[in-house]
Amino acid sequence: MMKFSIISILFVFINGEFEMKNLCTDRNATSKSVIDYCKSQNGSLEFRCCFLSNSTNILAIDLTEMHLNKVPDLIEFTNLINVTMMDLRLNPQLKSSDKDDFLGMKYLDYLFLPEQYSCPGEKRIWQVINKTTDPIGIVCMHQKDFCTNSTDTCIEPNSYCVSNGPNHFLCLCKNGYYGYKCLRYGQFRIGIFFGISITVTVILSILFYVTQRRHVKKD
Amino acid sequence: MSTNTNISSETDDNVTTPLIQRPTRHRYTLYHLSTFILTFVSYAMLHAARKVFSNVKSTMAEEWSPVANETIRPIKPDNIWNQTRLFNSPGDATIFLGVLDALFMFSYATGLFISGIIGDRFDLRIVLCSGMIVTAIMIFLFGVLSEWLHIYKAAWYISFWILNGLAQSTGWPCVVAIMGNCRGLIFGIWSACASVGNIFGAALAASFLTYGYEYPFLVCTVLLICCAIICFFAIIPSPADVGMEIKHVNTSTEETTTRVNDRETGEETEIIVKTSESTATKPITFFRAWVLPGVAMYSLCYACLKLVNYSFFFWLPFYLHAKFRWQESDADLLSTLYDVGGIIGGIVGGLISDLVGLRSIVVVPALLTAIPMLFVFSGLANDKTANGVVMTVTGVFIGGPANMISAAITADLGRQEILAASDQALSTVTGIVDGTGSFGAAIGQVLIPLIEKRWKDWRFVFYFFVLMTFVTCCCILPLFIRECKIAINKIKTRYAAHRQRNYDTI
Repeated sequence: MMKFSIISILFVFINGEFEMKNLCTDRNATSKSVIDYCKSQNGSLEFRCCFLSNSTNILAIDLTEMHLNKVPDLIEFTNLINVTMMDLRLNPQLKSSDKDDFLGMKYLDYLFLPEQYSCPGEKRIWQVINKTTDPIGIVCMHQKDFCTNSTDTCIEPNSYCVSNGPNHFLCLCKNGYYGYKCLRYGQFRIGIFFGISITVTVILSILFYVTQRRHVKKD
Repeated sequence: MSTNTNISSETDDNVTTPLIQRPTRHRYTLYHLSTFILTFVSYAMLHAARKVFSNVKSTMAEEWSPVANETIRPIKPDNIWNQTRLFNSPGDATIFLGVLDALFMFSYATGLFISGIIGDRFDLRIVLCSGMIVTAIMIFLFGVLSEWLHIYKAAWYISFWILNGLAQSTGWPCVVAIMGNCRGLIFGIWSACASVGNIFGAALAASFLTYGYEYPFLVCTVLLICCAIICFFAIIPSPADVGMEIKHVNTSTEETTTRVNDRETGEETEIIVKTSESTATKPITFFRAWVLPGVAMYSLCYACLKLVNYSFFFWLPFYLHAKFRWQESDADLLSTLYDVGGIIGGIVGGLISDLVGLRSIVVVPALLTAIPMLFVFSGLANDKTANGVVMTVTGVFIGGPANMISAAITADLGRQEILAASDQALSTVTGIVDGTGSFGAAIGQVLIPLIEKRWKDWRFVFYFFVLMTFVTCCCILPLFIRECKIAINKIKTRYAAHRQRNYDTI
């Protein structure tokens, strides 16, 4: 029994380890676009991923033929934050979920998608959308700034729009505003307030006591 | 109190009409002035604390809930926009805030009865100051600590707001009793303290709200504690404490000699008896206070009137927003105008009734004038100036009598001749009248949204107000008729004396 539990824990641990490194260390990159791009940026290819020198963040990644169900997200793979090119073709099971796909990938400039998955945001977000033939898919190029192309973004007062990946945005608080829902502005001067009120209280109490209650007769 | 026994015995044998105590000499000393200012400021501060809550309500509703009415995409980041701290939407939070208001009014009303009794049994100064300090602590816990420590729990808010209601109820009976002990002051101007408190509270809320909704509460807390400390060192609850009462007793016994001149030998013993009695006063029992003439009637009438006054003042911004789509700041400004009208009405009404010597002949006509004003207001168009003017005038004719009843008339009831000179009744009577009034207001708080929901039309709310105003008049009708007779008698005797004098000079 003990042996079984130890082995299962080890299995899960190893699986987890695999999960972490799964993205890059599967096999060598095959996508021509990724390889060419990596070379043009003077990056170094490490299996599927292209790294710039002196950086642990992935520049371009080839995710073709990975049997992916969903787009990898930044929460799980934090080094995708600066990714500029992503190739997701040849993943026939890939399903889109508008709410959190590509959330946070602000620098994504070249997105290759399988044919069942359309560019997030379509022409509103991408400057160029083309079909590709080798492998078959769609390419979305050059993200537009979400905030300047959309009217109904941050309607709450005291907030402004900031792009946060294709078809995503953040509403941050304007300068000087802070707190929940950006409702607060300015700092309350506790020191001055207490100083003044205590001083005035002491002065008035002494004044009134001397002029009034001192005359109170105790029966 | 014995100053006025002979005035009433001339006119009416059964002393059921509480007449105003007109002092023989107006002696305004520094003591009078400081008492006036201190009680005025104390009650204004207490009332300001209540108004602060009203004005920061919408911000609190926002802070307790995530963003409402999300369009196709939810607004991120979540920690700025989407925390469900207590409620799922600002609408739910608003309902909860309405519940808090109703609970406050009920606990305030209950507390008034209790505080009235306490005020007559203990040192008024101590009761007032401890009430103010407890209120300050409750407000701090309710509004400030809950935000600083992020304690967003409905039970927390409910319990501390109820305790706040009980603590705040110590204010009114004490200040009226202190002012009542100090005779000869102009109650009309003084009774504006509640409205001034409202205006101050609104100003506080407006100034400090941008730093966060807990800062108006914090400022209120600190100001209340400072006020309590100053009052503790400064207020003298009764002229007897500084030896001023003895003078009054002397002048009053001079008056009684005209009536009891066959007991001149007994006069000196009377003086001695009176002075010793005035230092050993005993508080009236709760039930005896209820059966005092005029108390039950005025309590009932005040219940109806305060219902109208409070509901009008309270639901007005909501009504203006619902009917005309006004901004909150505009609606708040208009309810301030209603307050201003109440101040003017209270002062003018108080002064006129002080001069004439009779109260209800000022109150009843004012209320009857208010009825058509309410009709006019319910039919007004969306014009800011017209609404503002009608609002102020309505405030004069409804808020004015309300202020008069709660201050001047209550003080008369608590110091009337039927009480023996030794009875401390003012605080208890104030507690009873204002307590009944507040229950009426609390019931109104609950009824108004029900009426509006049932008939889907604000006009029915106004009809309800008209009905309540009419019931108020009916309650004091017996008193009104009696005072009319007295007034007519007075005019007749004065006219007859004038003719006599003319006749003599000829």
